[in-house]
This record gives sequence, C-alpha cells and structure tokens, in this order.
Amino acid sequence: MGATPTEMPIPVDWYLYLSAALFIVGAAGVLIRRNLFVVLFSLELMLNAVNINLVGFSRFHENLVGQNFVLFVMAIAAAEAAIGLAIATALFRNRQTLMVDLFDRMKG
Amino acid sequence: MENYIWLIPVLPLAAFVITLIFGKWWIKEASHWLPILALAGSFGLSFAAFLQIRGAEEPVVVELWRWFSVGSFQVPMTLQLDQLSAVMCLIVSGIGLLIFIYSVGYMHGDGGYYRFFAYMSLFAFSMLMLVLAGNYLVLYFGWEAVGLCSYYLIGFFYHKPEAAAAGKKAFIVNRVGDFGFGLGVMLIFVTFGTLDYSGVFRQVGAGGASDGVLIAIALLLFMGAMGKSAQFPLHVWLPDAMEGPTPVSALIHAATMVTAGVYLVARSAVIFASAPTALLVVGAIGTFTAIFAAVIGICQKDIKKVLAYSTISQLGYMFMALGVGAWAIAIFHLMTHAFFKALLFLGAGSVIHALGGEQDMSRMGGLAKRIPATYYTLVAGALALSGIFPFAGFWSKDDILGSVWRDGQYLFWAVGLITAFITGFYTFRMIFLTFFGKPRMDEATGKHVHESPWSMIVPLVVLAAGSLLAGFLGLPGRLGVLQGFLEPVFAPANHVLGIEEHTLTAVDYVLMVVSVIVAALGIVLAWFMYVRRTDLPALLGHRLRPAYKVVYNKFYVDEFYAATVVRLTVDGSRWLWRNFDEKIIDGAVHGTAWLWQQAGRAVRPLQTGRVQNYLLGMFAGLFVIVTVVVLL
Amino acid sequence: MQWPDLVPVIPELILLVAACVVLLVEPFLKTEDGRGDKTAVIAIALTGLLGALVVSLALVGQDRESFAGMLVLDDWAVFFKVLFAIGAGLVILMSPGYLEAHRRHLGEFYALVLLAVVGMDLMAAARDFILLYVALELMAISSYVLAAFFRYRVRSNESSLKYFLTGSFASAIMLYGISLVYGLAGATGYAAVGQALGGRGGSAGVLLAVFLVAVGLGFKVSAAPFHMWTPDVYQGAPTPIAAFFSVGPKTAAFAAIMAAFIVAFPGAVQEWGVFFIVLSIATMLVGNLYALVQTNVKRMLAYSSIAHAGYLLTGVGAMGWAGNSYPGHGVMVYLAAYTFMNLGAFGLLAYLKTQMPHSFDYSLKQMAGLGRRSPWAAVLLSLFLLSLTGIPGTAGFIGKFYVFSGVVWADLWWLAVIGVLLSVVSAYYYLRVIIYMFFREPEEEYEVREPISGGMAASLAVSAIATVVIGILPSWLWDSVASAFNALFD
Repeated sequence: MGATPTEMPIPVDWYLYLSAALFIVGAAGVLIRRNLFVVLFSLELMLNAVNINLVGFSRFHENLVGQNFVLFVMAIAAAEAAIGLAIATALFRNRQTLMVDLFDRMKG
Repeated sequence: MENYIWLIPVLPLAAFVITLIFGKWWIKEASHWLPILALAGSFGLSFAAFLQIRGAEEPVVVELWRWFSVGSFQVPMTLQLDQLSAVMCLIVSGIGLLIFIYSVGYMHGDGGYYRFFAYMSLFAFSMLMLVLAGNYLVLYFGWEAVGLCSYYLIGFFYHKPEAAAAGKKAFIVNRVGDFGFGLGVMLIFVTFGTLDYSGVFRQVGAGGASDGVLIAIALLLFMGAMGKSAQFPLHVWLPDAMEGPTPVSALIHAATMVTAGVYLVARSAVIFASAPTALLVVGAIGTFTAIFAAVIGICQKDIKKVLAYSTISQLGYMFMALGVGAWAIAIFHLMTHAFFKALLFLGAGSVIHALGGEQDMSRMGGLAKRIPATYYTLVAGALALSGIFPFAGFWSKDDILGSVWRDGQYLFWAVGLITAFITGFYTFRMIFLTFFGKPRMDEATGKHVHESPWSMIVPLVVLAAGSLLAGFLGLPGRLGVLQGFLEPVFAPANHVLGIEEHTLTAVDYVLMVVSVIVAALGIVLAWFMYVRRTDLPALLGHRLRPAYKVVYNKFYVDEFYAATVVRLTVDGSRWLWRNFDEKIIDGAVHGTAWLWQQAGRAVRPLQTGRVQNYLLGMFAGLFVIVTVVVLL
Repeated sequence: MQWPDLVPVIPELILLVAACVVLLVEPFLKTEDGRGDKTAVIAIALTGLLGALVVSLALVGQDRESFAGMLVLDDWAVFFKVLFAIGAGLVILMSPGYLEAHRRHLGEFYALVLLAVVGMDLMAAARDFILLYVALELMAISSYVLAAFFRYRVRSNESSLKYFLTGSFASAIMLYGISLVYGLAGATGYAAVGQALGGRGGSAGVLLAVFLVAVGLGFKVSAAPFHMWTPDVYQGAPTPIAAFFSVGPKTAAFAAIMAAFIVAFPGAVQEWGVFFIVLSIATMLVGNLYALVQTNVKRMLAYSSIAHAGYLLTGVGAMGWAGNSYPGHGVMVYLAAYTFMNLGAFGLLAYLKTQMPHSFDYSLKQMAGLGRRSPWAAVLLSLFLLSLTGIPGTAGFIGKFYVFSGVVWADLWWLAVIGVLLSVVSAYYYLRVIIYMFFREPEEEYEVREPISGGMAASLAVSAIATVVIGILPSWLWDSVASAFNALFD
C-alpha cells in the first residue's frame, strides 16, 4: 500500500497493554457470565493473553524460550478445555442446566 | 541404679495397654488385678529409688533416647530422679494404689469397669512421667497427658450431660493455662537454648537472663500452674469436675494431678527465686485463692463440692508457701494434703455409696452410728484438714503460716489464719450435717444404708493412719525429716533467696497455738450452729425475721454477733459463688467460646456456594495486592 | 541426538508405565456380572508406587540435573517423591471398599491418582517455571477428573465444577505472573531468573510478577482469600479423593513455593515474606473460624486443612522475612506429619461411609456413640484429631513445634503467638468430635457392618503408627529434612 517498510519494531509495552486488556476481559467474563460455555471461552481468553505476553517478550529478549512456552500453554489449554466440556456434559446430564450460579448445594 | 527408673512409669502404661485391648472381652470383671499389681510394682520401685537417692547431692539423669534434635539444640527423652521426684513418685504411686484398691469396691458392677481401670492406669503413667521428667518438654508431655486422662475420667459417666459438659469445661479452662505454659517453655528454649532442668537452672544461677525475661518465664509457667492447680481465676473447672466418679476426684482432683502446678513451681524454684516479683504474684494469688475458695465452701450443699472448694483453698496454701520461698514446706503440705484429702474424698464416696448415690448433705444426717468405720476415718480426715494437733494438717499448715510470718508477709499470715478458721468451720459443718442430727433422707434410702465392703474400708483406714502420722515427717525447724531430705533440690533456690535454716523460737510455738485455737473455734462454731442450735442456719436464712426475735435472744449476745457475722459471710459466700464464680468467670470462658462461634456464624454467609463469588473473592484479593504494589 | 539423563525421572517413568498398564489391563478384567475384579489393577498401581518409592530411596544422596537444568534429582526431590508415593499408596489402599460401596469401582481412578503423583513429583523436582506450570497442570487436571469421579452424583459434579473453574482461573493468574517473570528476566529457570532479577530488588514490575505467581500457588495451598473452593470441593469429592487433595497438591505447592521463591526472587524476599505472613494470618483465622461452626465433620476437616495451611504459611513467610531457608525445615517436617494425620482422619471418615453408604452423611450427630459401636475407629480418629490439635507425643505437635520455633528463630515471635493461640481455638472443634464419639448417646442406632479390615486397616495402621512414631522419634525426619535443604540451598 505504499507504506514504508518500518525499521522500528513494535515496542514491547504495546504487547503488554494488549495482553493486559485481554486478560481483564477474560477475567471479567469468568466472573460475570453465567453460562459455563462462555466462562470456558473467557478462560481461554486469559490464557491467550498470556501467550501474547510470552511471544512479545520472546521477541524482546530475542530468545525462543517464550515461544516454546506458548506451545506448552496451548497444549494445556486444549486439555483444560476438554476437561471443562466433559464436566459440562456431566453437569447437564444431572441438572439440565449450565448456569454456574445454580450449583450451590454446598455452602457455609 | 538408673536402669530401672523407666520401669516406674512404664509398668502402669503396660497395664493400660493390656487392659484396654483385652478388657472388654477377656479380662472383664478381673480388670483391676493388672493395674493394681502394676502400680504396686511402681510403688516398690519408687521406694527403692527413694532409698537410693537419699543423701545424694546430684540428681540421677537417665537419657532414654534422643527425642528432638535441631542443629545444636537437643531434647533428649530424659527422666530425672532426685529427692523431689522420688517423694512425688511415692505419693502418686502410694495414694494411687490405695485408691485403685478402693475402686474395686466402688466401681463394682459398672459397665465400664475395665475402661475405668485402663484410664486410671494411663493417668498413673502420665503423672509419673510428669514428676520424673528430666526436661521441660517431657514435663509438658506428662502435663498434657494427665489433662487428657482427667477429661476422659471426668466424662466417664458420659450419659450424664453435666459430666460431658464438665469434661469440656475442664479442657477449655486448662487450655488457657497450658497456652501460657507452652509459651513459657518456648521462651525458656529461646533464652537458654536448652530445656534440660540442670542446664536451665545452671544458667539462671549464673545470671544468664535479664530480670524481665525471668519474670516473664516465671509468670508464664505459673499461668500453667494456675490452670492445672485450679487457682483463681482459673479454678472454675475443678468444682464441676466432681461429676466424675469419686475415686477419680480423690486421685486426680485432690491428691495428685491438681498438685502438678505446685510441683511445677517447686521444680522451677530457681527461676522463681530469681524473679521476686513473680514470686510475690504466686503468693498473692495463692493467698487470695485460699480464702476465696474457703468462703465459697461454706454454703455448698453437695458434699463433694465442699471438698472441691476445700482442695482449691488448700492448693492456695501451697502457693502461699511457695510465694515466700518455703519450697519444701509446700511439698510437705502437698504430701499431707494428699493423704487427708484422698481420705475425705474416699470417705465421702463411702457415704455416697451407702446412700445409694445421694450427694446432697441436706438429705443426710444421723449416719454416725450406721456407718461407723466411715465415720471415724472421715473425722480423722476432717481433723487433719482443720489442722488440729497432732494430725498431719496441723504440722504442714503451721509450717506454712510460720514461714509466711518469718518472711514478714503478715498480710498473707492474717489471711491464712482467717482461712484456717473458715476451714475448721466448713469441714465440721460437713461432718455434722452428714453424721449428726436426725436422718433427713427418705425412708427407702434410709433403710438401705450399709457399711461399705472391706476393699473400700481398708484404704480408708490406711489413709486415716497416714493423716494422723504423716505430719511427723515434717516437724518444724531442724526436726523436719522431709525438709532435710529435700534440701539438695532446693539448696540453689534458697541460696538465691538467702533463706537460712532457722531454729525454733518462742514465736513459733505461739503461732502454732494461735492457729490451733482459731481452727478449733471454727469447729466449735460449726458445732454450735449445726448440732446445738440446728435452727440457727435456717433462722439466718430467713431474711424477714422480725427484729424482736433477735432481741428476745439478747441473752445470747455472742451468738448474735456470730450470727450477724456469719450471716454476712454466708450471704457473701453465696453471692460470690452465684455471681462471681458462675457468672463472671464461667461467663468469660463460655463467652470467649461464644464469641468465636458468633464470629464464625457471622462470616458464614460469605461462603455462598456460588463459584463465581469465590472467583470474585480471589480476584478481589488479587486486586488489593496489585493496588498495594502500584501504590507502594 | 543426545539423550537427556533419564535417571532423575525413573520414579515418574515407573508411575507413568503403571498408569498406562492399568488403563490397558482394566478392560480385560470383566467377570460374568460385568463389574470386573479390580484386584489386579490395584496390585499394579501399588506396585508402581512401591517401585517409585524404592527407586526414590535408592537415589538418596544423588545430585544431578537433567533436561537442560529444568529438573534436578537431589535429596529435596527425593524427600517429596517418597512422601507423595506413600501418601498416594495410603489413598489407594483406602479406596476400593469405598468405591465398591458406591458402585463406581473403575480402573481409571488408580491411573488418575498415579498421573497426579507424577505431576506432584515433577513440581517438587522442577527448577524451571515452564516445567512447574506443566507439572502443576498435570496434577490439577487429574484432580478435576477425580473430583468428578462419581459423575452421577450432583455433589461430586458440583465439587468438580468449582475445583475446575477456580483452579483454571488461579493457574491463569499464575501463568500471567510467570510470563511477566520471563519478560523481566528473559529466562524461566529459577537460578537464571534469580541472577537476572537479583539486583533489581523490589521494583513494582518484579513485585507484580512475584505476587501473581504467589497467588497461583497460594490457591493450591488454599490460602485465604484464595481458599473458598476448598470446603466445597472436599465435601463433594469422594472421601479418599478429598483425603488425597488435602495432602498431595498442597504439599506439592509448598514444595514449589519453597524451592522457587528463595532461589528465583532473592531480591524481593522481604516483600514476598510479608505477603505470605499476611496470607498466613488470614488463612489461620478463616480456617479456624469457619471450622468452629461446622456440623459436618468432613467439611470441618476441610476448613481445618485451611487452618493447617495457615500454620505452614507462617513458616514460609518466616523464610522470606529472614531471607533464609532455615524456617522451611519446620514446614517440611510439618508437611510429613500432616500427610499422615490428615490422611488418617479422612480415611476414617471413608471407612464409616463405606460401612453406611446410604445413611452416613458425615454429620457430627452421627458420630455420637461411636466409642462403643466401633471402639477402634473411635480411638484411631481420636488419635488423628489429637495430633491435628497438636498434643505432645503426636506428629502434629512435632510439626507445630518445628514450624513455630522456625518462626521464632526469624524474630517473628508475635506470629508464633498468633499461631499457638489459634491452634488453641482449634482444640475446640477437634475435641467436639471426640466428645460426640465418647460422651454422647446416639439419637438412633447406626449399623456398622464389619470391623476395619483389608486395605483400609493397612492404610489406617500406617497413618497411626507414623503419627505416633513421628511424635516420639522425630529426629530421623529432621535429619532427612536437613539433608534435603542442604541439597537445595547448599
């Protein structure tokens, strides 16, 4: 588009701001939304905020540790999602609902 | 000789284990044999130990194994035999043996027969560990263990809700004391880097700690002693503890466990001697408790409660003696008290047994002829408790009052003297109410009054002989065998305080005579009120008695004075008991528990059960942390 | 290609193999009624744990690292591997009857326990934040499934849901912290991070990173205010699993905190010390306060485990405050003592539930009269509860003694006083159970069908003996703790 090829890399704090925003959005989703599925998505959002951080820092430090780490985080996030969905299935079978705030038999 | 010391506590432990495991199905009704034999063995060994430690300058320390080691800090599992622990061992195993034998008759037919003897053996083990401990941690172990046994045995009749509540109360009150004791032990460790008696005392003697630290240690230890020995204001558990079986009251709550606090202070004599402020506190608390509990004892109706308050009062005497540095005399009184108080409890148990479980003295009376053996032994115990020549209590109490006088604590002395008067009064009030006058029990009970079996009478007779003779072990001044025997243990503490052996002077004899007269006056007053003029107590209780009645009786001016004074005292005593004891102190204990409960209830709704509220809690915590970081 | 040194992970490899074998063998064990005889599965799982235990013990005194320094083998790691193997073994021994009584006796249970142990082992052995995270998730994900193991039961579901959501949330926070650590240090190994951050002390960025990591691990040890999941999860989970949760993940998290924080964040020791001290006070307070008002014994034990986490955290806080690993010694002794006494207490509840699968609801009033119905059970439970109270002669006293003397050593005597005072409070609710067992008449008769036997008996016996032995002869434990700390901190 005619833009000059930029010599200046994106400053690392931009990554930080983005990831912090994403993390907060994810956390807010986990705290506020009632549907278990949306809560699960929000959790993924939090993990991906971490990934952005890691990749950004990886570039900043010019080593690959961060990018390595991202792979682990992604694998674990997948496992976590699988467990989350399995729990959702079991919950729905027993109670016919997925509203997290309805599961409050044990308290006090 | 050190090879067998460990057997002294271990024999009852073995009896406990075997009785507990096999008692229910195999040993059953024969459950008493093993504990009695084991304790008899302990007694024999204690006696051997006693003979061998006589005159030894240094204590015998036996290291069984290394219990703790933290770097250079070592806490070995040590037992220490010296004159003090030998005397205590003899008291615990000897009195314990008699009470075990007595229990054969008393507990006969109870569903928990084997359980009773098992727990009693466990108690004997714990108490012997306590007195034989070679360092403060082993002592602490014995201390907690005797407490546990005590709670179990108080709640032995667990189908009675009062018994369970009393067990719990004893536990909670003792926690308060033990908290102080635990902190004291920690402070000793932090200050001296060791917990061994010898090491600690050597460093105290060498000035290894500042005065403030020593006072703190002494007061913390004394806090533990106050809990265990039921000193004001931690005394409230002992009267309730009378819910336990009578032999338990005799062994644990009169003769041995409650004296553990006295033992602790005497054992730590060097520490207390180096902290005179703390010593004064000990004496003051003891003196106050002595008169306070005696006054309350006046108005009790339950025969065991009278004895309970009397125990508290006598323990107060022991702390009074400790407070003026009369260590050996405190131990002497501990010993004589073990004899006559065990006797009184067992005798009371015999009365209760004869009446089929009745404990209220207002439903007794006229028993002297019907259960003579119990009557005569009990009177011997009462004379000893009142301090009448030549019974054991006379020698030890007068030793205490004499040493208090010599120390110049005239206030303590005066209070002690008044207490002696009240003691004579309430003791014989109990005797007269129980054995004299007309029978006040209902007919069915009255018909079945019977003398107790021999297994109960024999211990009574032995203890009565002890109550008569034990005092001669501790004759005043240079004549005191016991004082001389204990000399090596207390020499360092006496050196710190600058106490020298004293010779008897005319003052001592005068003091003795005075205190006997005072005690006798108390007895006479009791006689007057409860035998001669049995209408007097009722009359005094009758508040709206028209004044002319008093005028009518003006011929008896002395009685009039006695009546007003006594009336004030009786009412005051009742008021103290109702308001102070029951409301304020009980209230404080229960209130603390209640406060925690309420706090728990108040925060409970926060745990809503909704997972997102939990997440919010986490996030709020996180938010606070981030804010703090950003702001700082 | 050069192989990494596999010796340090032999115990974990054994456990992995055992877990896989369990999963493979189980389908072939069908009997006529279609339920299957699980003896073989249990035997394999126990053999695996025993193998891991023996190999770990054989590796005492080694000092090597592997996988590019991500994990090490030293006495520190061995100590925890042994503890986890024994703990998991005790849990597996107490489980079969319980699962059978609930008609959910499946082989996956044992495989999942073994996998969780692998995760815990690696957490203790990890010297790198990446491995720490992966190991923690391995442990956590196995735990979520175990919590939901009775998947037809509403409470088990609810327990798993709460555990999963709070756990994932906490690990996301921790991961964010780790990413910041990486951003600040440019490395993820503990030592490398420590070198990079050492001079920079307590700048806001470092503190934020440190505290986020601490929050994640604080969640696992159920430190207030990150504790609220604990009672619900323990109450809803199958009782042997609740027992496992209360000791395993908690111990692993403490191992990770102690191994990571001193080495990786030496510049901020005071700050994280204060952080954990504040957390410990809140945790002790909350745990004891809530435990006091519970009428459900299982839930009471859950809150009491929070209180115990508080006592342990005082030691961790003292480590930071003094900037020295010495107070940690007591924490490790406490962890070992706590493992046995808490497993014993929960195990006894599992036994009672096994005997009365339908009527027993863990309520206090159902404990009434246990002293006569089932004297051995009552005596054992009393022993474990007294140990949890911290009565001398039991393991619990030794643990408290060492932890609080470490705290005093760090000049935090007031913290020790708070700890002792609150453990005095704890006597109230532990004793209440004993009072119910011995001094109360039951309101109705409860049937206990059979005496304690088999695996349950073995498990309880080991716990009881260990509780008493540690209480009376704690020196060997102290020595092994000391050598573990020497391995870690020279």
